[in-house]
Amino acid sequence: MSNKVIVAILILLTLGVFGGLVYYGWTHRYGSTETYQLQEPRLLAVSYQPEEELTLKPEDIFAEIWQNVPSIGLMLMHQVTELPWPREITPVVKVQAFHNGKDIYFKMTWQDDHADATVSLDEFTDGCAVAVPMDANAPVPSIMMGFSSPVNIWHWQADNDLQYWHNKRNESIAYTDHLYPFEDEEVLPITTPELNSAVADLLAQRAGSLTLKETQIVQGRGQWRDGSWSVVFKRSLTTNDPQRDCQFGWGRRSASFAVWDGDQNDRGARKSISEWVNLQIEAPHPKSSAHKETSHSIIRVDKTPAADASYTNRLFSLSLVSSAHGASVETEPAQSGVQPRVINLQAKRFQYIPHQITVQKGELVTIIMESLDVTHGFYLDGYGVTMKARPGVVGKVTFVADKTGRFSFRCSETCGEFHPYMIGFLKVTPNSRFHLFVAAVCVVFVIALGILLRGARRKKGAEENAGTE
Amino acid sequence: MPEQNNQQQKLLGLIPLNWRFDLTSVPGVRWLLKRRWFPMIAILINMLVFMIILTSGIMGGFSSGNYSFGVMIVWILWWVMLMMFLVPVLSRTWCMICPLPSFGEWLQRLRIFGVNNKLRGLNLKWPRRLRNMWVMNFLFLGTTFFSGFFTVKPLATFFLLGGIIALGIVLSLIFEKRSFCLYVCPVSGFQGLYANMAMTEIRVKDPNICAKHKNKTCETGNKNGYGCPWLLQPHSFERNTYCGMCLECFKTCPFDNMAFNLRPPGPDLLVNKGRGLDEAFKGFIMLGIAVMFYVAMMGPWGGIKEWVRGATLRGWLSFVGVHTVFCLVLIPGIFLVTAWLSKLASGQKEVSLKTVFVNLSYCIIPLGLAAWIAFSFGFLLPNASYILHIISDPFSRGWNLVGTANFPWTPVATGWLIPLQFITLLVGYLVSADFGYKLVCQTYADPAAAKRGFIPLLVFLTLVIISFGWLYGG
Repeated sequence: MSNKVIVAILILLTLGVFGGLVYYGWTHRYGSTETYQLQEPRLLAVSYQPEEELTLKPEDIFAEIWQNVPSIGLMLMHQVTELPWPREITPVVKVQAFHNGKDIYFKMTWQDDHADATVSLDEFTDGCAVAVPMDANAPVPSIMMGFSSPVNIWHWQADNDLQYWHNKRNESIAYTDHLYPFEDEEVLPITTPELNSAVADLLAQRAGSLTLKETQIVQGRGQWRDGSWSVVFKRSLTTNDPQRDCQFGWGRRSASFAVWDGDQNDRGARKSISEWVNLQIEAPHPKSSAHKETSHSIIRVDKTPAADASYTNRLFSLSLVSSAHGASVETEPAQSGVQPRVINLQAKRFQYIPHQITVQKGELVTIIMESLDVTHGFYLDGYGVTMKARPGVVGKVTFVADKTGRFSFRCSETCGEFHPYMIGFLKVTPNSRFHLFVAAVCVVFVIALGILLRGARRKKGAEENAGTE
Repeated sequence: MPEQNNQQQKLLGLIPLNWRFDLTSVPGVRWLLKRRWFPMIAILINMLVFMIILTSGIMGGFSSGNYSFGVMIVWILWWVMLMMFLVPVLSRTWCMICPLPSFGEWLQRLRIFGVNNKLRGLNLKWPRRLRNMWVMNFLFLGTTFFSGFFTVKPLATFFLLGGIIALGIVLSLIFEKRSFCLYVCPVSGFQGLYANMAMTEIRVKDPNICAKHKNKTCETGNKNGYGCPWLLQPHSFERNTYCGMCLECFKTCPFDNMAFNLRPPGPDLLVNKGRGLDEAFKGFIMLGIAVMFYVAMMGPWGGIKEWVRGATLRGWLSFVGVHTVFCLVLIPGIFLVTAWLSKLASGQKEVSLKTVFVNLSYCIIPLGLAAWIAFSFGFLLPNASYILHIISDPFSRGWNLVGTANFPWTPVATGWLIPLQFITLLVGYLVSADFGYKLVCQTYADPAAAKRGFIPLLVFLTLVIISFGWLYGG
């Protein structure tokens, strides 16, 4: 075999092995290529059907009306904001909705090859949920139970459905769920409340704040047929308790959806969730111009700092959940009598907004950090100040800016591939370290220039003297 | 001053540039450098580490780089060691122990430790027009276009390192000896440039012995070792730029005439031989990349980070465009104006503008190196603690091999980061200005003209260092 052929074979072999390894790495990769860009939410038309009223009989789940109202297929994703994360995913859920001027109906349909309506030591029930922020105008950066606004969550579970509609209990004995993390921290109910509905009507403002409302006003019913679950929710458009119930007006507002697959050990945070969806609720007597005006005004999401601050304030003022679960993670020095300068900081992959903060030396500074996507941290070089903000839990830290100069603050919670480079600047004026640096450079410059000019002048003088002689 | 030769000059007027200490005068060092198994044994150990790096790259996918063995070892430990210690102190010692071209070299030699001067492969000569740094310049610049991927994504790190190994093998099979290292390897170029500032060198002890030695076994090889794999003439080394420190000349020299010297930093900058536009542009590109890396990685500007990490194709292309123009047009353009002003101020019409441009460009090497060392502090201090995690869990599989997997992220002395950077920049500025003056004196024959010609250069250096100071801590 000639030398050239051997070389050619070796080159092909080298490229083949390299290509093969890249292919293996690519096809067996984990993580994701996601770009974390906020996408415009999908739109679900909630049409006005004045003649339709469903009493949630079994046939209502497949009533003719559902053939006529628009639907959207939502791609679901793993819930990864809070532990524990799901093991498998329910890929798609079909969602439909309509109202009759009095009640609003949602229908969720998804494939599940096995109906799980039994709860035991190692069996978990299927379920689904609708989440609707109470404030129609609230910004909704986090999918997990809201936090800019409290959310109503309507949680349907197959075992409750069986119990409520068929009076069958599949819970054989009381049990402890050793497989589920955080068991030690949970409070186990010792009595099972009587069900008023197959749907739990819940209120939450952030992960960990899920609360069963005193008044249960949502009804729902599910049916498993031909490898699919179909579940219909029903609630009145408005209620007497706007503090705890969202009030459905005409126009646009957000909602999101979740599915639990008992087969895959889904329960609690182990679930598949959708992105936020925009509900476009049709007015009962649509007038084109009025409708446009209304919907336009409702669509507007004011992103000005003032508006954001108002949401933060509202967040703190809601004692219902914040007092029970802690509204912020806080580190404050023992300093009283001085009003701190409050700086609202937003954190999102992989930047802080604002990216630079300027304060004066000696100022008492409070930084309130809100995360717009995942958990982010804050570590301030030179000061050693740390805090973190989870979606729904703002971080707060107060310190005296007693060291001058520019200091980087960095994310201290791994938040994605560019995490080590998520940095902001705190400038404590006067920036004496930089001024000292510039002064040192200038001194070197002036000395060097002086030496040059003095040398040149000496030489010129010597030449002049030589000429005189 | 212009009358003084390089041997008589002093660094900052304090340290004689001709001071040398031959480390081979220490018996143990001499013995080690002449062993056939050295540095191959170090290469093999290094190769083992790279195998782990490459495996973690394949297995790591797109996960966060700060928990990837490959990403952390390559971009935190290796890069920082390279810029802060290996190159400025030990010249191209990394090339001595680099495992990346070894597979290609073994295929040429069909030996790992032994000597076989009848090399295999096609052994073609590298094209004459490409015998310079241009290919390395463009390849390195091109590599930085993807810095938002290579430095954070394990699989991308694998792609880069694996690609270099594959290219090294292919080119070693086609071209003679270490043509790949000498003319192509993107890591080689900047090491060569900044190795001019290194505090070590390989030189002959007595040039007269080499002059009388007709066989020149350091070039041709003998039974004790290979002829210079880097296609150089070790008997007449004057600069560190292209010497890969493979130590073969220590083995092949029958007169034991090779020295491994300690020296003051920077005398190679004054060697008026082998200079060219390719090396000048390498200096500008490195300066530009230091700025870009800082802006993208240490800066607070989220929009630029979006560009660099390719969140959108349009943003990434914008980054590529701006970065290229900045490195290849803006910085060289400003320096061209400086060179022109220097020539104008000197009044030396007989010196060509190209000569002024090329000669004076070497004074930005200390400044560039200082900018990189300062930048590397910003990599090292906040991120070094991740290394404790990844050595316990190299493949992100939840292992805890040495019990440090749960060591939390712990920034070290980051309060001193900016003062350290300022001091480093200041030292770089002083050394740059010093060598700038020496280079101006070398370029213009008349001392008075040299002084006049130095003023624009000093202004340029001052503005550059203040700009870096502003960027790093202003």
